[in-house]
Amino acid sequence: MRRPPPDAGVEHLLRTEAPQVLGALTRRFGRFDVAEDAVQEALIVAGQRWPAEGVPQDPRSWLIRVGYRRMVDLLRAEQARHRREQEVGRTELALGTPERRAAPTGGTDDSLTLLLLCCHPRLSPVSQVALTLRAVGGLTTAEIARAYGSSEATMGTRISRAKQQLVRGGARFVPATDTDRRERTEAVMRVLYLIFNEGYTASSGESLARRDLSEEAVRLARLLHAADPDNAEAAGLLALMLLIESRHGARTDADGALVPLESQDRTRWDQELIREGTRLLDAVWDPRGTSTGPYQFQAAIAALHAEAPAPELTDWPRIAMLYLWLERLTPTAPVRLSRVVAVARAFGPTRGLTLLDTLCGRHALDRDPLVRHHERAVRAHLTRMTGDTAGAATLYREAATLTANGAERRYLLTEAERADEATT
Amino acid sequence: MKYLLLGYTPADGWDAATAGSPTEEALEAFAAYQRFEEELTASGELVSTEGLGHPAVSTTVRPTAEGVTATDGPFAELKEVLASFAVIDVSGQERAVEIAARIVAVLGEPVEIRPVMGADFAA
Repeated sequence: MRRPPPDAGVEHLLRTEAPQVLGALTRRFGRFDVAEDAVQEALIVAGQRWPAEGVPQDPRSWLIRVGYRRMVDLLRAEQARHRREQEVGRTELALGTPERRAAPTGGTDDSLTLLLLCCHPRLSPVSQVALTLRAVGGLTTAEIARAYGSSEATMGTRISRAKQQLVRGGARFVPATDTDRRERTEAVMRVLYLIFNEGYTASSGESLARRDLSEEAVRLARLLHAADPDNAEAAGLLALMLLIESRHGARTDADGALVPLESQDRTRWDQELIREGTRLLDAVWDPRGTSTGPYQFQAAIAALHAEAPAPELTDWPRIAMLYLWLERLTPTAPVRLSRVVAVARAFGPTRGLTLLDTLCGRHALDRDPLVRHHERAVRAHLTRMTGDTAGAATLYREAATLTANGAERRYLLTEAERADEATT
Repeated sequence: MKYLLLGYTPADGWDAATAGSPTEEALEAFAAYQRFEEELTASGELVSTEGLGHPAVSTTVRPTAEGVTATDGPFAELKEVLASFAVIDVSGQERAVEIAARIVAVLGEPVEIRPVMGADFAA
């Protein structure tokens, strides 16, 4: 099922209301799995009727009412089936962890509770992403399937399996306790950043649908930040997304090819987003950095790029330092290689190559099949910076043979030719 | 004396499709019931009254061999199901019947009167 051509206002309203409606139904009647299906159908009905008939005065109650009716239908069908099968679905009573106090109705924002539930550790990252987009994002199964280049049937199966896993795992729709909230919020942030990057790196699938994913991730990150304003990392994640998103207009040329950061027309960067991202980061940034998390560090790096009016005016020494801190928290190959580049920019290619050798010796970056082509490409880049164009050309070609990505290979071979030309 | 008034409705007629969008007649009946409710509130005889969700959204908690379990769905599948209730505090059975009769006349569905057992009747 698909919604009619989107009416931007209605679409936005539905996506904002989706988690609230789902929260209201789940809170009252239990059965997150059934409620989620019912809400999805209510959203589809609203998407068909509202653009033509107008938005009802109280959209949320309208959706809750229609969702409730669908839920009754679904439950009756299920109970009739159970009776026929002479078998009754029973949930074990989890005694001992009751939420005795009735949650205040109306003003409650269930978004965070829902986000935490959808990013339950029992689910695989792919399922977390799909369920989050549907239950919290209010996207239809068809929309999610389109964005991920899979069929609606496959995506539908994945979502219903994810929900069954939640039910079997005894996941409960209750606000997280402080102790596990921190850990669970980390999972939420990972999922949102994953969704954002899916949309941002338009490597496959329809670029338009993928763009929706980035926007959705930003919207959900806003929601997470609003629900948990004291969480500095959640603010950092939103700032990071906004700062990356600010370069959107400059990222591709007229033919749709990617333009690297260095060559982007900086006048096309969205200053409004940069201001918002920087402000968010400044509000939570701890100068001592003792409790600063990876999203804040990445946002700080993005902010330094954003504030440089030209590539050569970039504060590379500070970026190199931020990468060092980031590497301590997330010691991954891409972060290490980024640090090498920053060090080379800040202190010269020789210092960069020395660091690269050290890191290769310690972490075998040049032998890891997942990153060795990146290692070659970075080494090629730094070697050319030292003036050794012949050596650089050879390294670029090595890198090209190691990558499986066509666009990347073409880019590396072009660089090899440019190095050749500089040599002769 | 307290009485529990139980309003029943035919299970078949309680369609999910009509649960949230009542007919004109239903709305009229509901309005009439509300006026009666005000009357009982004024006389101090009404303790509380509520409409209930569809039986499909009920949960039954029961003891089993494996311990206490919660089962989705109603306790028993019945032709007539509980749809609303009211607790009244009145002079006696006669007055309770009188009130129930007014409700039945308005809603058009049967009402069962169950005396609430006070401390006097504690076993």
